[in-house]
Parts: sequence; structure tokens; C-alpha cells
Amino acid sequence: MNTQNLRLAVLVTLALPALAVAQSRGLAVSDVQSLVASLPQGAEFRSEGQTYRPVAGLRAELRPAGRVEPGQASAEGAAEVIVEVKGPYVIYRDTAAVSAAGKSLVGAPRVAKGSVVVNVRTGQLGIADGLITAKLSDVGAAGALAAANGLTVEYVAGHIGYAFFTAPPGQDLAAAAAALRKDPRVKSAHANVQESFAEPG
Amino acid sequence: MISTRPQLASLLVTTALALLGAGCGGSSGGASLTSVAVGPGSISVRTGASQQLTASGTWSDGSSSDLAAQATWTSSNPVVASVSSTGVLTGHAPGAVTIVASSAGVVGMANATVVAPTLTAISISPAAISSAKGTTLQIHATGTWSDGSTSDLTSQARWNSSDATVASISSSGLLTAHVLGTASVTAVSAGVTGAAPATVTAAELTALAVTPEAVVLPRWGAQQLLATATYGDGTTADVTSQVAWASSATGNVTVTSNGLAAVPGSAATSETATVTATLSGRSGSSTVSVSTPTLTILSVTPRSDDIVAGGEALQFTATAYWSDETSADVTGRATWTSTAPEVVDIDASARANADAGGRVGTQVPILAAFAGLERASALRVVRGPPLNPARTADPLAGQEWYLLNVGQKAFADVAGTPGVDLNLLNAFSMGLSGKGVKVAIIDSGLEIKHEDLEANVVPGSWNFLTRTDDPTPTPEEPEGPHGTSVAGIVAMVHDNSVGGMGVAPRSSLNGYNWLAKGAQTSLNFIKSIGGSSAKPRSDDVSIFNLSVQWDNTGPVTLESAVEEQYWYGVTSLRGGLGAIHVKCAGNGFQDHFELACAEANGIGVTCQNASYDSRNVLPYNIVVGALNASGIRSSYSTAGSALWISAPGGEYGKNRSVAPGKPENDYEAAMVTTDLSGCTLGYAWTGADNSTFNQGGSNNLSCNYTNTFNGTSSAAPSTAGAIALLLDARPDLGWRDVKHILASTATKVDLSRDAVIDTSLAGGDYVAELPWIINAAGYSFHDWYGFGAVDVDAAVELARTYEVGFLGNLVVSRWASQEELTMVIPDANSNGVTSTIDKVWDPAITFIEAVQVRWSATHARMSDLGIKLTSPSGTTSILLNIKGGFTTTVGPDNMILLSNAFYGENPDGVWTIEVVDGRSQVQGTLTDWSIRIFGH
Repeated sequence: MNTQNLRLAVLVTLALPALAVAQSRGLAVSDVQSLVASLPQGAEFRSEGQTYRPVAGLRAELRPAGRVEPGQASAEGAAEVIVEVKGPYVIYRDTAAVSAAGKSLVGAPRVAKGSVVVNVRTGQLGIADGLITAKLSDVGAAGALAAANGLTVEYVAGHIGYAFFTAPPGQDLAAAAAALRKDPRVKSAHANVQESFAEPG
Repeated sequence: MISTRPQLASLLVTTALALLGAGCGGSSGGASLTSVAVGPGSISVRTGASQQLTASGTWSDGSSSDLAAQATWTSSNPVVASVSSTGVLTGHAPGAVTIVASSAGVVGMANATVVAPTLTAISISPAAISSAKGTTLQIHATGTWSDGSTSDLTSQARWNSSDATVASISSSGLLTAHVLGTASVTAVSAGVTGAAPATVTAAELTALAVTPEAVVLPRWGAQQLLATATYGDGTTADVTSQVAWASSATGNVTVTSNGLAAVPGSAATSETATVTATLSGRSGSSTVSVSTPTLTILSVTPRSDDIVAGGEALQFTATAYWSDETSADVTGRATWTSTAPEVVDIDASARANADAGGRVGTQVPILAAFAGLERASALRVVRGPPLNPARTADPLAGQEWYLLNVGQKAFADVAGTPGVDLNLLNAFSMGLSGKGVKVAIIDSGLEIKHEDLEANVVPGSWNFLTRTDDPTPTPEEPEGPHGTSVAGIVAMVHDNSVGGMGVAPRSSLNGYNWLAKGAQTSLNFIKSIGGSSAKPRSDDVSIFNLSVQWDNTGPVTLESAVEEQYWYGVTSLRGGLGAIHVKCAGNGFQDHFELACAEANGIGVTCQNASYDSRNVLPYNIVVGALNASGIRSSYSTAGSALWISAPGGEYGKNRSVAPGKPENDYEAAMVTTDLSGCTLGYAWTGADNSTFNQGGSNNLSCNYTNTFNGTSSAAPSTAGAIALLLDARPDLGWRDVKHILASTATKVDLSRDAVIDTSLAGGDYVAELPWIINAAGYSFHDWYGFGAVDVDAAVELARTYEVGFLGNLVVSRWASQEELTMVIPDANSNGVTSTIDKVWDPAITFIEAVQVRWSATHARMSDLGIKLTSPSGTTSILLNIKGGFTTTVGPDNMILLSNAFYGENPDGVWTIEVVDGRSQVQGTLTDWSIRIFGH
């Protein structure tokens, strides 16, 4: 469905807290880029041919029901400002750089589930989905690889030779992927980053 | 007088002697006889006649006495006349004689004359002559003589007819009748005349014939008989109505007074009767035989019908009709033959069964043979009972213009154009319904208990958030109803008296809520498109419906694992035939999320190009654009060379009464489909601000349906449903076969659409959007529509005879590249840069199925750039239009584009890429590009 039409219909339907209708999905690109440039960034890592850096001071949350607007304060407090609405996520400027356990996904220059990362070339923000995707020469080794690297096997798609791993909280996914790549049974591995999201069509 | 003649002398001598002998005379009492007088007087007698003579004796005493008895009588010539001893004279012949009577010596004599008799009368026989015309009749004349005798005078008489023209008579008395009339016949002899009347009557019937002489009639048969009379005069006449008709066996043959012979239905066959005509004592006849009847007609029912493949047997019957108008059921005696027994078999009892694998639409003649006659019936193999949106109990089906567009408004304000629909009635008539085809709705979720979907939902759905098999959206899910509406277009249940009916209303549904908030990972996507055998069960899906679009504002790279899953899906699912991936093009023609669309809108090109979506550039997807109810591109439908096909998506379905002041197309029909149940969720709810239907109007009191669903999200399930029908008809079609059939049967729409010319650029006019093209292989293509509108009936018809394997094996070529280019692209100039790749590809590829171009450039506003690709055959396709909507500030880095416009062409030769910068102020450089071919 035409998304704009849909959003209007559904969000109004839900009739949750009356929020201003967003006309934009975030700060201006240049503003975001300036903001990101001003924030601490972690080590570069590669994912699907792109180079990223985790950005400190930003955190991604699943979008709350209802409308959100750039600059709007989060439900947690006025200190958090919406930088960008990206698919189902809202990226907040976490001025306190503090994560609320169980809610804040990340806000540190390392790659974990919910980390906000920046595409070094394009400046686009992305969000780590918490998974490491690895192409294996032997998918039967997925368990062993997970054990050897402190990971958990999330799913093995043996029919295409892939395994998906998760890491325990605090473990850097990019570093874990790099560790996996050193194993000869691993053809490729990377921490997943989502730069764009799907919407109803 | 006495004369003495020799005879007399002799008589006297004789008499004297007699007297001597007697002793001298007699006496009487003493007197003596003195004289004898012979009397009477003059004696005359006719020949043949007799007369008593007298002999008077005179005695001497004077007495007298009669002595006749005592006298001796003598004739002088007994030949003439004789006399008896008693004096009876008998004349024998005319002449004269002397008669002597003597007694006692006394002689008396007298002369006698014998005279001939005279004719006194003539009589004619017959006394009244009647003779039929043309006949002869012998007439007789009899004379009566004076002596009373008669004699036949026929030959002596002189015959005469008073009118010889009527009847003539010969001298011998033979009468000939000539003409009708009367005459007098006379016979004259000796002055005596006899006469008789003669009448000539009509000619005499001499013969009577009945024709035909022999007739063979069936029971109930009849034959007019003719009676012909032949008369004595040689003439003939039809006397059919004059004769008396009779049948010798009225039980078998009857005949009317007019000679119509008929055989009653009760007659015994092979029996015979003689029909006789009688007239005037003459008769003729005809032999009428009751024939053994011949078989004239063999009737078979049904003469034509549909038979469900793998369904119940269809009973045929055969009825024989004979020439005698009798009939009989000969089903069990006829010989039944199927001309295609591998498709439809028929047994001796005339029960036909269609093989479950029988190709839908196949016409199979069934032959029945009996007693030399043969009759054919046509069976059409169908998949099930026919469906018809115009004749269903589903109350909303009549508003589903995408099934059957009759100009209905679909609860909007503006109706579409009749005939603009999926053209699927024939497919429906063949019972194609998508039965057995599993369609996965990869979307926001699916209300699996929806009243108009539940019956088609099969196990396998999955909720990635709750990790349950119920993907019904929660009220908190912002995009919640979308998947339920998408599913309705595919598979609303048919004829269940609620809602509408889907395009494939008996297909099977799964829903995976990949779009749900937090579920949207590449892993879950892989699981959703066939990479999971449980939770969800997606590896048995035939069609994946992806009514999803991406919100990227610059090029993005498709995850390699996702691409590999696609490859797996098309090579391994459906038993190796390949799953079908139906992907919406996007809704970004006019605006889209954060894209900048003003420039595109300004010249009338798409703001979002279909190739912006990294999944759309995979040829494993069937990328679908949307058509509105008037048959042209829906206002929002993303365009681009990555489109394969177009299908109904509608406009916005609003009512002015509810939402006044909107653009005109907002009031045009959208899609009527399912919505989340109830009036507090979904598109239809009591506070809806777009249509009365969505507000729970009279046709939607339950709010379980919506009339404002639209988007390429609708076009995709329209297409998915169409493909489900196609796979229902031909389950053996591979994914490329499906694409090929859709492309080959698509209908060109919007034929008058002109090219979009941008006149603002230096260097002259620039064709920013092409009109319909026809490529070198004969395929028509338009970036707005792909190959055109889905035509289900045409696709099914082609599919019926399509030979799987026609496309051969898919070959994906290696990339051919032009790298490390430094081609500065002139800013805002229609004369861009061109680069070529001259390549002879894999010899296994002579037929392009898709072309991918990968390119990189330096440009701080890549949306300025437009790319055209020209094939070796001279076909040009716009891969990216200038003035697009991307807002990224960096150039593309190995961005992949797809064009389907070269379908069917040979890839060998020079490929030319042209990159044009359509806006001023920012300039860039083409650094490299590559091309690869998918084909066979």
C-alpha cells in the first residue's frame, strides 16, 4: 500500500498519545553528518562491501507506537533527541551516553545489537541487528565455531552454507566476525548492518 | 288337276294292284262303293307341314262315309309329299303330287301342292346391344318363318347401323363400338327387317395396376400407392381415389381410402402385406413389407462438458435413434474411446475420468461408436468447479474491479473503465483457483482467523516476534493490517457469503510478519523466502509475495546471503522448478519517504526508480508496477527498467463526502479487500477519514474490509494470485517459464503515452523516458509497465501448450567490465558520456532474460545522472532516469541496475552505456561499469 496513505490511516487508527504528524523523518542529512562527525567513533569494520564505524552517543530504539518527530524528546526524557527515524527504529541522540538496560540498544563505539554505525563512504547511518552472518565451507562446523568464539548459533541455513551467530552482550560483533574470518572453515563473516528498512509497498 | 305323269302312272298301277289284291271292292250293307273323293278340295301344304286328308266314299245307295282310315293312301311323289296310312299328308319339298286313296277297288285321287314357308319376322340378338367403346360384339339375326319355324339368318341378313360413327357392323353381323352413343342395328332378309338398338358404352376396364408394386417401409413409415386403370381402348387413368383399397394384414400395413399405405409402430418387422385396389371387377396389388429399421442417429450426452482433473467421474450416455423413430439407451452397448486416454480415460460403462495431472483446458474428444455410427463429444479438462465474480455469494466480489471491471466504483467516487482487469474469467471458468498453490505473504502479519481468509490459511505461518504460528498483528503494530489486505487480494475465500473473493480464491496462505517492528532482519527474510522448513515453514511455498519496498535514499547493497537464498529459491524450491518471487516495484513515482521528488515530478519521470531497491534488480523477482482501474499507471507506481509486469493496484478509493479537497485520483477506485477485523483496527474503522466504506458503512458494518487499499502492494498480490492460477493450470512450470509466459502474454496499455522530453539541458532535447519500445526480439516494453498488464486468460492459454524446457538452462554470465574510467560527465547536458563493451558472451546465451549493469561514479548528487543502455541489436533502455529522487551525496559504488527491456535479444556485440547529467551545478565522473547477462 502507498505508505504515506497507510501511515496516516493506521497511526490515526491507533489513536495513541496525540503526537505531531511528522513531515520529515529526521534531521537534515548535513546536520546528521555534522553530528556524527562530532561524536566518537569506533574501529572500522566491513560488512557487505561497505565500511562502517560505530558511533558513540547515538542509540536506536524500536519506534514507539504513534508519531515521532525529529527533535522530539524521547519518552525517557528531554535529554534525548531524535536524530533520524529509520524504518522501525528511532535513532536518538543520547546526550547522557547512558544506556538504559533492556531498552537502550547501544550507544558505544563498538558493534552490538542496536549499535548505530555510520557508513564511512556515504555518511548514512546504519544499525547493527546483532547478528553475524558467516559463509562457511562446512556448516556442520557452526557449533564449533560458535563455541570457539564465544558466540551462539542463531540459525544455520545449511542449504546455502550460511550460519548466523549472536554474541553475548558487551561483545563486539565486528571483532567477533573478524575472529571468525580467521578460521579456515569460514569463507566470510561480517556483522550485519541495516542501512535501509522495508516498508509496506 | 290330275296329270298323268310317269309318277302318276306308276301310282295307278300300284293302286290297281292293291285293289285286285283286296278282292274286288267292298260293300256296305249291300251297297257298293261307288266313288272315293279325296279332299279337302285344293290341297296345299307347306314344306314340313302336315295336313289330314279326307277320303269320302260314296256308296251306291247314295250314302257316304269317311274312308280315310280304311283307304289306302298313296303319294305320287313321296319326296315332295308323303301321305300316311291314315291320310295325313306331309309336305317335304315344294312341288306337286297326286294323292290316291283307294278303297274297295274304288280310287279317288286329288292333287296336292307342297309349297315353301315364308319369312315372317327377324329378331336380333341381343335385342338391346350394349358394347363398350373399342370393343366388338357379334350380333345375331333369327328369322321366323311362316310355318313357325325359325332360322339363323345372321349370315344371310343384310346388316346395317344407323350411325356407323358410333357403332359399325359388318356383313357378318360383327358390331364395332367406336364412340359413346347410340345407333340402331338392323338385319334385313327376304324383305323382312329386324332391328335392335345399340349403345356404345365407355371403354371397358381391362386391367388395374398398383404402383409401386413392392414397397419396403419402416415402422411409422408410409407410402402413397397409385392405382392405374387400363381400358379396352388402350387408355390408362389414375383411379387411385376410385378404387377400393384393402390390406391383407392390417396389423402390419394399413391403407387409407386414398391409397396411403402406412406401417404402424406396432407392426412386426420383416412382415409383409398385400395392398389391393379393386375397381369394376378388376384388381391390382402392391406388396408392402415392414423393413428392419436402420440406425439413423447416435446421440451422446453431454455433447460438451468440463471434467475436473482428478475429480469425480463424468457419466456419458448414448441414445440410438432408428429410422422407425424408435430409440433406445445404448450407453452400455456403445464403444467408448478417448482420443487422449492419458488425459481423460473412459471405461466401457461410459464413465470418464480425467487424470489428476491432466492439463487444464485440454480438449479431449470422446468418441462413441454404435452399429456403425460414431459420435464425438468434447471434454474440457478443468481444475474444479467454475468461479465467477459476477455470480458468487460473496457480497463484495462485485466491487472487485480487478477481477471483473464493469465500471463499478468500488465504493469510491470515480469508477474505472470496464474491461480493465486481470482478464481471468476463462481461467475461472476452468475452475482455476490456485488450489494447492501455497502463497506466502511476507508482510506485516496476517490475521489468520479473518472470516474471509481462515479457510485458506494453512499451517506454516510464523510470528517472528512472538515466535508462534499466529502472525496476527497486534494493535500496537503500525503497519499491522497491510499483510491481511495483501492476503485478501490473493485468497479471499470464494462463495462463503462474506467479503469478496481473491484472485486465487482457493490458494493456500501463510503469513510471516517480517515487516513487523523488530522482525526485519536479513536472517528473518531468508527464513521467509524459503530458507526455513519450520517456524516458519517456507520451503514448501510456491509463491512469495513481497509487497514491501525500501526506504533508502541512496544505493544499498543486497546482503549476499539474501541473494544466495534467492538463488536457492529459484533453483531448489518447488522440487527444482523454482519458487516464484513477486515483488512490488514501489510507490515512489511522485514521492517516497525522504526522496527529493520535485525535479522528477517537474518533468514527469519517476522519482523513485525501481532499481533503487536492491531486491528489484534481482531477476529472480517479478517486479510489479501498479495499474489503476482505468488501465494506466497508478499515480504512485514506481517505474523503471526493472519492472517485469503490471497489475491492478488502484488509486485511493476515497469519497469527497469524507475527504474533500483531495487530488482527483484520490477518489478513483482502490482495491476492495480484507482488513483487520473489527472497527477499532485496520484501515476500516469508525474514525476513518477517507471513505464511508472504511467508516463501517452499510456494506462494511463489521469493518472487516477496506476499499482504500492500493499501492504496488496491491499489484503484487494481484500478480501472485494470477500466477497461482497459472500454476494451478500448469504445476510443472518453472519460475522462468512463469516469467516468460507473463511477458509473452501481457497486454500493452496506455498506448498513446509519449516519451518524456527534457528540454532544459544544454545539448538539446533529452529523452528522459521512452515510449513503448519493441525490442529486436519483438517484445514490447515500457519502463512504467514492464511488458504490460497481466492477462491471466492469455497466460493460461499459452501455458496450456507451453513446453517446459523451452527456455533451457539459465546461464549467468560473468561480468564484463570497463574499469578505471575517467569520463567526466558534462553537467546539465543531454550529451553525456558513452562507453562501450564489445563482448561475445557465453555461447550458451543467445536469448537474454535480463541484463544487469553495475556502475560506479563520482558525483555528489548522483540523482542527477541518467543512464541509458543500448544493446547490440539497437534497443535502448533507460536504466536510471535523470532527476531522480536519491538524496545521497556520494556517487554510486558498484550500484546494480536491471533492465528487462532486452528480453529475447542476442547479447553478442557492442553494448553502449550513456550517462547524462540532468541537473546543473554538480559534476561527476563515470569511473567504471560492468554488465552481465542472464539468459540461455
